[in-house]
Amino acid sequence: MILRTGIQAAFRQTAARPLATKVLARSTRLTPLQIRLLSTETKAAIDKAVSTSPVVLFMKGTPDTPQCGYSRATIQILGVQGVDPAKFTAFNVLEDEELRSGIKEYSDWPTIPQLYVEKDFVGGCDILLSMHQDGSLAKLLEEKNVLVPAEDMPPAKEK
Amino acid sequence: EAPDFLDEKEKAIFDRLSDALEPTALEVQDISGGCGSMYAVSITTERFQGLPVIKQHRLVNEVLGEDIKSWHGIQLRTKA
Repeated sequence: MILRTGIQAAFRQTAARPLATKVLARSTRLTPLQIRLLSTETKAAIDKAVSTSPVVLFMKGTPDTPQCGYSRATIQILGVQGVDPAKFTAFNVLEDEELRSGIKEYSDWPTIPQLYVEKDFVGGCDILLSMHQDGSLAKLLEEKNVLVPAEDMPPAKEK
Repeated sequence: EAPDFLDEKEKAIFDRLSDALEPTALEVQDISGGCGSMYAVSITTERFQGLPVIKQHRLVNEVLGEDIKSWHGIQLRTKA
């Protein structure tokens, strides 16, 4: 069994980044309708967020300290797949309530975690797990060239 | 055709999915310890044929729309 522990550890230490423009304190009063819809600033901030890296994950907690089992599972899957930490950014929705609700409107997806690859929404934990199991995730990540190059992998360890 | 071991909320979800998607196989289970805040749903229906998994999930999300918003989470497994 090949253990990519080196890669997985480096991957988990990828610091989660705060949303580029933290859209918090509003000075203007908003009507309930306006509050429910995605504000232009939040949309712009999320647009920017999904463009940060080829692989972007919106999760609860950080890659090193996930705060939810599904976020943790997603991080593990990406680590096992060998995603290059240099091509990956994670955003912690627990740090930013606007992001937490905004991303659900933005993706039209009700739950966190949410994975984006090259600005395309791929899915949540359930989908990633099944893609991981049927090989389609490996295929996608290879096609998008976001995996750690073979030469950089630590030597295979036999069990 | 809802099994009789479902609680009220589970049954409501079961019926909603049954009516909307006419599944050949459907399982609904409260996995929040009875709190009604998280459900595991497994659904097989011909309506999913030809659709990528993500579209299948979005279809279910549409059917359960408002409910999902009030839950903490959902575990979803779909099959065509």
